[in-house]
Amino acid sequence: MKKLSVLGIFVADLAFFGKIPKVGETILGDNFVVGPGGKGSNQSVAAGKAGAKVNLITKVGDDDYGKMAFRIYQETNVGTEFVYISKEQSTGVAAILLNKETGENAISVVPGAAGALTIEDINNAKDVIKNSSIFLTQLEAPIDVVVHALKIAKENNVTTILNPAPSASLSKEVFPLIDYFTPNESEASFYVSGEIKNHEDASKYAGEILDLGVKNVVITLGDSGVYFQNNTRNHFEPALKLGEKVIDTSGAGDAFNGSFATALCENKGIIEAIKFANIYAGISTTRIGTANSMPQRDEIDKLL
Amino acid sequence: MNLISIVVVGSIHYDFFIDSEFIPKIGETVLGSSWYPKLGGKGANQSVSLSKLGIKVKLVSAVGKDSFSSYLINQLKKTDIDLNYIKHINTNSGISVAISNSKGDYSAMVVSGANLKISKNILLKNELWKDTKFLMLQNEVEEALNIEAAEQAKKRKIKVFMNAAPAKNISQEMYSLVDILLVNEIEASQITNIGTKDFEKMALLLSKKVNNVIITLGSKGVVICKKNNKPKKISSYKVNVKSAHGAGDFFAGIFLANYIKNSNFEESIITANKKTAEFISK
Repeated sequence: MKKLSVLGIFVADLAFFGKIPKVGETILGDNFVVGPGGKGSNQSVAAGKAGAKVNLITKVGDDDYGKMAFRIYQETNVGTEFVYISKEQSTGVAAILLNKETGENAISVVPGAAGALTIEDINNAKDVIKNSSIFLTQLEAPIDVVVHALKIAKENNVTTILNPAPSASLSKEVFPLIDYFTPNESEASFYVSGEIKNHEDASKYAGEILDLGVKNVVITLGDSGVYFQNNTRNHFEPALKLGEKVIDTSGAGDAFNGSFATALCENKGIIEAIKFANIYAGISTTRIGTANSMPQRDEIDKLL
Repeated sequence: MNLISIVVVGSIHYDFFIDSEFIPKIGETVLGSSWYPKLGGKGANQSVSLSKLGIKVKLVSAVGKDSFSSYLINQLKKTDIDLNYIKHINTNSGISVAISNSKGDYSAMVVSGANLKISKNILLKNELWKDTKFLMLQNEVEEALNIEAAEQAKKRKIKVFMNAAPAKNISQEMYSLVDILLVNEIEASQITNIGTKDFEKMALLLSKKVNNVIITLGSKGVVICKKNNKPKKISSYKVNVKSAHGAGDFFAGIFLANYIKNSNFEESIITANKKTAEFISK
C-alpha cells in the first residue's frame, strides 16, 4: 500500500472544565482531564486507525507527555522514526478552558518542543517524505518548516494536502505547492473576500482559493457537510444526519484530514475519498475526545 | 530545636504555569511561549513561605495517586515542612492552570481533586497540635474541614489565622472561630458585598465579625482594622512589578511568621508589606 507522511505538532491537551476566568480571576473548576492533542498528531492517529501506513514528523520533550505520545502512536500504528525527542524543550501543552454549560472555550497553546522543529529536522526526514505518495501538514508547526517540507514533497512528486489550521498568511509561492487545500469554513473565510458559513458561500468563494494556485479546495462545513471544487468540477457531500448522537465535535477536522489522506493513499477518487472522510469524521463526533475519538477502519467499512 | 510551630490545613496543587503574550478571552485561542510545572496550592505555598522563615510547619492535606502526586511530594521533600499529615487518596491530585503575561496579569482555574477529601480524623490527633501557636487556613478546601480544624485549635487555645482566598461565602460559624482574617481587595468586595471601593468600610464591617482584619490592596497598600477600633491605612512601597502571582501567599507567610515572633500586629503588617514588595519586583 502507498504511504502517508504527516508533519505537525503534538501537545498534551490539558482540559479544565468550569466557568472561564477573566483577567485577574481564579475560578474553582469542576474537572480536569489530560489527553493527547495537536492537529498533526491527531491526524496521524486518525490515519493510523483508518488503515494508512503513516509516519509522523514531529518533536516532543523527554518527559511524561512525550511518553504519552509514543504510547498512543504504538497503539494506533503511527510510525515514530521521525518523532524527535528534544533534550532542551518540554513537550508542548494546550491549556483548554471549557465551560460545559455554554460551550465556550479559551485556549492557550504552547508548542514547546514541536515549536522548535527545524529545517534541518525536515532534511533529516527527507526520505520519509520522498517515499510517501501523500504528504499532509497543517499550520501549527513553524511556518518556514512547513513550507520547506511542502517544497520537498512537491519536488519529489508527492501529492500534498495542507490543512490551513490555524489560518495564517502564506506567501504567494506556497499555494502552487498544494494539491489539496482543506480549510474549515472559518479558515476558508480567512483566504477569501467574504465570509463562508454554508454550502452556497463555499461555492461562491471557492474560486478565489483556486485562483491563489491550489489545485483542489475541500472546505469542511461542520454539520452541513463538505464542499469540493477544482478547475473542472465541484461536489457537495452532505454530512451524516447524526442529530443528538453528536456529543463532541473537537477533533472532527483532524478525523476528516487523516482519513481523507488515507483514502487518497488507497487510490480512491476525490469524491470517494471525501465520502469516506465525511463518514469517518461524522462517527468521531459521536464520541468524547480528539485522538481517542477516532474510529477504527472496520466501523467505516460497515457503513459504506 | 525550634518549638514554635504552625499547623496549616490547606490545599496542594500541581500548577501548570503558562507564559503567554495574550491571556485568552472567551472564544480565543492564543499562542503561549512556554510552560512549566510548579508546586502550588495556597496551603502548600503558605507552608513553604513559613518554613523558609524557620517556622516548624505541619501541613494537613491530601494528594491523589497519579503522576502529579509524585512530583508534588518530591518538591515538598525539598522543604522542612512536616509531611506526615499528607494523605495519598484514591483520586486525582489538585491541579491548577495559570496563564500569565509579562505584565504580571493572569487568569487561573483550579480543580481541587484530592483537596476536597482531606480527612477530618487527622485533626483529632493531639500530637498534631503539640507546641502549635497558630492554625493557618485558606479557602481552597471544604468549609466543614476548616471549621473542624478551627474548633480543634480553639479547644487547645491555639489562635486561628484565615486567608479567605479565593473568595467564597463564609458562614457565621466560621467567622466566629477566626482571630485574624486576611483578604485582598477582590475578596473583600465579594465577601462584604460592598460595591464601591471603600475598603475602610469593608474592614470595619469585617471587624464586627473577627477580631483582626487585614485587607491587602496591592499597589495601594494595606488596610487593617481591630475590633472596636477605626480602620487604619498603611501605604505601599513603590516597585516595578514583575509578577504578582503568589504575592498573597507570600504576604500571609511573612506576616504570620513575624507576628508569632514579636506579637506586634501592626509592625508585622509593615514588615510583610515591605518584603512582599521586594518579592513581586524580583
